[in-house]
Amino acid sequence: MSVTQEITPELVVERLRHVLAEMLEMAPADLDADVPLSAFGIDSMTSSVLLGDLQKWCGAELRTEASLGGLSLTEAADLVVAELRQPRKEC
Amino acid sequence: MRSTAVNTPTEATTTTAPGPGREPRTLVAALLARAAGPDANRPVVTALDASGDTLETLNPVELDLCARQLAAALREIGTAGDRVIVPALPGLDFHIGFLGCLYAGMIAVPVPAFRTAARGGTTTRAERLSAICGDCDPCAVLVSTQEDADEADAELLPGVRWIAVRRPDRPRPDGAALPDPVALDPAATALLQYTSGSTGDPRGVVVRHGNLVANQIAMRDACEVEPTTTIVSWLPFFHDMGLCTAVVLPLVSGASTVTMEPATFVRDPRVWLRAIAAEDDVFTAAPDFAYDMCVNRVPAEERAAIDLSTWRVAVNGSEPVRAATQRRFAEAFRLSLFREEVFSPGFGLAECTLLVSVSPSLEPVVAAYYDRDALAEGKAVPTADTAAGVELVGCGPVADGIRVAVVDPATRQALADRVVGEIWVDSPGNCGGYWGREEESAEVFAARLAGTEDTTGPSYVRTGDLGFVDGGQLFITGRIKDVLIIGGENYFPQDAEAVAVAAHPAFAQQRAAAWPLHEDDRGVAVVVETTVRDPEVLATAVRAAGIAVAKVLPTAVSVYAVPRNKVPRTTSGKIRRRACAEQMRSGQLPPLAQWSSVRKDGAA
Repeated sequence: MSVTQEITPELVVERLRHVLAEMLEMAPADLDADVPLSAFGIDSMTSSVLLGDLQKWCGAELRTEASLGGLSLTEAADLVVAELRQPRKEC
Repeated sequence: MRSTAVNTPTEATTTTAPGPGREPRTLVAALLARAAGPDANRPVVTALDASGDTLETLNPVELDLCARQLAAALREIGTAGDRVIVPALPGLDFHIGFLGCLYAGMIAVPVPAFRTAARGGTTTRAERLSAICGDCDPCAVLVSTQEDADEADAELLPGVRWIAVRRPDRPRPDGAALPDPVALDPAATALLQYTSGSTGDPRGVVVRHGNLVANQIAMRDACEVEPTTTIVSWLPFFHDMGLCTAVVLPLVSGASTVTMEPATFVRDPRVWLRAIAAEDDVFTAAPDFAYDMCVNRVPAEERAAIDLSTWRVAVNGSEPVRAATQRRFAEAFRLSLFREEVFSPGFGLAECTLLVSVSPSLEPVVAAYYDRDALAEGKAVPTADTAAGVELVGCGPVADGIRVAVVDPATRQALADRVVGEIWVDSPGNCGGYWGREEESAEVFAARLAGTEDTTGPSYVRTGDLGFVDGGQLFITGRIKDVLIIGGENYFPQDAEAVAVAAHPAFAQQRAAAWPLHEDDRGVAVVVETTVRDPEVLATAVRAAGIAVAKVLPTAVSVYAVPRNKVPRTTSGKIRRRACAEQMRSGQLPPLAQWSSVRKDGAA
């Protein structure tokens, strides 16, 4: 992941779609971006796997209690992008 | 339970009518009292034709005579305790037929109308009828006239006699000892009310004479039904609510009743509304969909011409009561001087004769939002956030003389207010069981709370319905068997159905059924009826419904659009979700369009 490339919601949707399709053994085109992920069979376990993948991929640290299940691909991507744009807390 | 001894009088009975100030103990006693009282010459029942004109009117003396004539004919071919099939005959023939059976001491078995002379072609209705006959072994089937009896297809129901309700040539049966003493015994069986269950598995609720009277006296008192009240009904007579509303309630209350065929209402709801407008103080009962139908089918410009100010009680029952339906109706018919407090939402079931709870006459409707996630955990938590809530309508307080316990079905412990559990009912309307099914009857009709198994304390009817009590109101959340368990939490199919229907105009005001997908196949399926046939519109609609359902139920979702009236229902109007699932699985119910969040060849 090049640091020069800006993370857009579209990019996140495509990344999530790719990972989900592999996990669920579905064709990426069959994952409707407006459907809550829980409807594809995403539960709290698979959700944490997805969150871990996202963090490695783009550094987005979503709060651990957040489950993606209730969100659609589009909504999850918006959340990721919003998180990335937040000013980092200094530790 | 099959022996004829079931109708042997169990206590001393008398053939004299009850004196003034005393409640009749059976329906026949109530008619005898009316025929001997000051109202003997006032109409008790009137039938309207398809355009709302009067077909026939009978006063109590005439009704009594017709019932006696039929009873005398029935006693020539059978004895007290025998079963008689009473189809939903036209005009006043059902009233005469039903009461004639009771006068004869026989057990009436109300069923839908069927074509007696029809040949070939096994319809579901004919199959259901023969299944009912196989279950209760009747001695006769009633038809309207002798001509109908002569033309009836003997092969349709082998070994059963066809008896005409109308006996115009018959002399007054003064000599016969009618009514039979069992007709005056509250503990004797009056009818078998066949309820849900699939075609091959009919269950007849054993309703006793005393059940009918006790239950509808409770309805009379809750809704203040008076001798000056007119009951206007289009409900089918074979339905528990139809029978109680059009036949039992008028006789126990002194009210008169105006009836029309269900087909009349369905063809033109204005006939029902005009019949209501024509009377001075009106009681009606109908399921939720009827009110929607009035709004959809009576043009706005015609509403002002119908004066509904005399409508005092509109019981809404037998299917889930929707606040939105009642609001929409009240809004649409404000021009007709209809008031929303006329609605009396209620809850009942055939196993308790009918009534369990009902909102009293002219009380404001109670509707509130409850948090959806909390409901899934069994807690009723009111919420101001309508998006996170489910709007539920209070089905009134439990009627006089009836007791309800909300029970944890696993532990049989009674639960506190605002906790969801199975509704158990202890009522004088509680019936005697299912005909010929001792084991199932004991389970459903003689349930006891934990710790009271060995006592003589109250036993309850298990309704199979889930609900809770809040502020003295009974709220219904769903059927126990239909609950969707997702991630260990309970969700109600009504929620999925409501959001699916609201998701797209193609589904607006249509019926839906939701059920869990095959056990090893997590998820939920929703079928929605539609009148739309355009494939592109339907494709958009099923996707919109699927997304809407997925937002409230965290699981895989499949949505199917089917033509109007294809979702199977019980005779009492409840959605048969299991039957629907089975028909969808077997391909018997081919969808017009489908959508699935997880594409696996659309397997249901």
